[in-house]
Amino acid sequence: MLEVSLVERVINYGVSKGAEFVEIFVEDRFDTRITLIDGKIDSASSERDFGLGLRLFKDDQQVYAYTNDPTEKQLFTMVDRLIEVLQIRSAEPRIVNLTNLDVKNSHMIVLHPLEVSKMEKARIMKLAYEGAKNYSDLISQVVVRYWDYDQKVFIANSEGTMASDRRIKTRLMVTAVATKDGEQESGFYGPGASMGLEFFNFHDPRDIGAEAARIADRMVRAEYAPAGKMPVVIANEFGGVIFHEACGHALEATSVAKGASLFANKLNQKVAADCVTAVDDGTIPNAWGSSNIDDEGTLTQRNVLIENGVLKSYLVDRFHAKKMNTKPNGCGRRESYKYIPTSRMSNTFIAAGKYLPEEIISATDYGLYAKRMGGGSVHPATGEFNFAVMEGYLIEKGRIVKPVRGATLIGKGIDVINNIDMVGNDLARGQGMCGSISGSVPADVGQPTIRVKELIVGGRKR
Amino acid sequence: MREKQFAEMVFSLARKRGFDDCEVLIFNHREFEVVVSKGKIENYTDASSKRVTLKAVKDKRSSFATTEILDETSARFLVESAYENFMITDTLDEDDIWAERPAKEPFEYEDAFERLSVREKIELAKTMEEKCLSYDKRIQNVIMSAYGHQSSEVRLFNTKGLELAETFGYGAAFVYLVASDGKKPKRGFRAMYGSQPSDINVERVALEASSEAISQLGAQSIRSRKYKVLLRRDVFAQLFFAFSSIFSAEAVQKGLSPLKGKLHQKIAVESLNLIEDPFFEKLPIKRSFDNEGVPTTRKSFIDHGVLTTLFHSIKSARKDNVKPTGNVFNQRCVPLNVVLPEGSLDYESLIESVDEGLLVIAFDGLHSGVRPVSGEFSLGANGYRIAGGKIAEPVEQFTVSGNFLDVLNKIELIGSDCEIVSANWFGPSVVVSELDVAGG
Repeated sequence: MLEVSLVERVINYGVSKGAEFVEIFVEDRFDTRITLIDGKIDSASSERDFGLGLRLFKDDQQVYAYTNDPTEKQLFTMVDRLIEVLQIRSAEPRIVNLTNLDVKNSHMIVLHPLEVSKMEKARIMKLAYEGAKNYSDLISQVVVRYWDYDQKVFIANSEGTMASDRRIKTRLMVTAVATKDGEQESGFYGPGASMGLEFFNFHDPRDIGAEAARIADRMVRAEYAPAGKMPVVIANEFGGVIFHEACGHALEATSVAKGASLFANKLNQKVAADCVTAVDDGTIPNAWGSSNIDDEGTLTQRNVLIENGVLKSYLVDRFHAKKMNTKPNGCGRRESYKYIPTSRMSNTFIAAGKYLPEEIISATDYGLYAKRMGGGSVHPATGEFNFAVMEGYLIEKGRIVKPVRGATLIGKGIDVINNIDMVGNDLARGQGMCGSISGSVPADVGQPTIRVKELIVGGRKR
Repeated sequence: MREKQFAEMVFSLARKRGFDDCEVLIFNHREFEVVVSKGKIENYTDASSKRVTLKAVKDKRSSFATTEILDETSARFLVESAYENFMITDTLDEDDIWAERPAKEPFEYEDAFERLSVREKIELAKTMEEKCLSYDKRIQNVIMSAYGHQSSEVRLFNTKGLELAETFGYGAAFVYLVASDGKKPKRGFRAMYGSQPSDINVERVALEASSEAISQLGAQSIRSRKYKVLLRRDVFAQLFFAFSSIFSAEAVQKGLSPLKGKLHQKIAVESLNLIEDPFFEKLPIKRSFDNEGVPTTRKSFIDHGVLTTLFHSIKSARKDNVKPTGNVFNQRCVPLNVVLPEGSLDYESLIESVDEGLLVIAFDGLHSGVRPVSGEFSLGANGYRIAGGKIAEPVEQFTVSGNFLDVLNKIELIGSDCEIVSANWFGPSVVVSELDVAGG
């Protein structure tokens, strides 16, 4: 994407001016997005992004510049401007020679998205539409969104590492609207993977549409959820958003390094119930949140965050690794060359436990069963998190009795992971986009069915 | 390659490809931000970038492609991709390319923040952090103290002879911090926006974020029930923007908005007026045309409680046989600037008007806890309990639930405490007669 000799010259120039660390990130990316509304392809767009990000460290300070005109002159000017900001006056001579990092591809692609016609993509979308529309007479509208991208990245730094990766992702997102007696409710289902179009050999688009429609159909018949504190059983797959929000973000070095996390200084201490083991694994073959290397050129790895309730590891990026006196562990991520990378989750999940999901429900006298979760957010410094229940049911005397809607769950991270008292054996992962200071990145969340003894359910019925 | 030359190359390729008309929209973007923590530069971004989008129309169907590079390969990529996209688009909704020049002169934004030196901007961020830390020893951690600005030049060329350009931008400072009394940490946040450095008072940003966090210490949980709720000006703005998509005509036409069938009907209390004003003096961003080249206009979209217009793109306007409203920005049909005109009571009087209720100063989960198709929301919140017209104590760990259209109908009082609370909202706080609250 850029001549290696030029990259080497720019890095050496930065080093010669006194930067402790110089990094170049080059990205070349194609996106395809197609929207289908009411059975018709409403719009389609193609996008190519190309740019370079330059990052320098000195004395625990970090500066960044980016451009989509990476000429030699422009790059040297960028280095000069950043050196000026860091107020570096002297430098020790040092020569950087770049060597390629051996990166094995763990995410084989069969049907490359750029080689599959858009007609074929449109056909898949229409199947998803049919799956949703035919699910129930109450489905009044269906929106299907198709998205694929092919991102090539090249990273080189003053430690002499040079690495490349190619990330190919495909995702289908269906929103179905159900209308009954003048009221509307929506359901969403949006699986994806680090795959090409072969993804649809494993996931029938009709099933994806039907799942979104099923949720809308149930929820439009539902009454409002109850309000107040109660036990909550959270189903597997996307239910894992609870760990992602309640704990995952607070385990990122971005928060931990500055003491803005309730998990700071708690390594090897008991932070969760014994039944909780949580992992972030960026290496899972073809998973939505996976990549071979992170956006700082570090090989991704499997990081056990919490093991049987004991805090084992944080998620650490390069900049914060130095501050925390540890090593980066392959989780420095960014949306694009327009963002400074920082520690982020990839595929994060609570490991399987021993209970059957049915056992967990039958052991619950009264509470909420959150079958499908929406998104959420958290303030890592205070631990306050929230997430939306997209599909909920009321549990009474160990049985699911009726659908309920409109509930948000809130709580504080540490309380929640200490209050998990049952973990099921049905581990599965779901796909989402995770937003933070380094932009929006694909991330898997996951868990088996779990029960939290007590959470605040933001419903309306008392 | 020069931009106009590039546009002409694209036009010529598009004509050869059989497109009837097309339009090239170019954004040249400048961005500067410095984030300071513990007196050191934690993040610093200084950048410029370009973005070019082609909208091509054939047989009244539009398709799109975007690139960031201006060369012949990119021109071919744009046209070929748009053609492939055209081949699969089968919507019956007609689109077009705009031809009429706006009556208003284009705005010119001179980025006054560029006149501050980099060092001065870093110092402002550092000063903000210092002011927070010296405000009270319980301010434990300033997570981010940031100062930044951005500006864009937009240029539009189309085959109907329209050639437009204008510049816009803003600057902002914000602080996000944590206070602790050794028991429970509480957060404070404040942002300020403006079109020049003198609009942004970093000392006030620091003071307000710090005092908010300190005043939240010792927050209690509250009982689940219905409460009268005072939504602080920034919180009401956030709630509006979480639902702004329901005012898009396309969402209404497609059955994705609860405003279907509500045009020219009363949807809010009579005292409520919401004005979309792309020229509003106090707000930093001003535009004379939208991203389809359509002239922007000032309009009361809610006028004395009545929904007078929806926001129309060229495509949705054709379908409803009306004029486009000049609201297409970032490929969505949304209001650019919203103004809620002031009511009669100042902030203190609004608090005094509440005998028993809640003051909400922050909503969480605005991207997930809202359902635009129904107007329903359930959001995590922070604030204070109000008793006897006075702020009683801080409260936390509660949710506020309701329906956005219901909220518009339950606004009892509108304050006079208008402020710029985001880059595109100017308005006061409001009292809502009743909302469902769930707590511990």
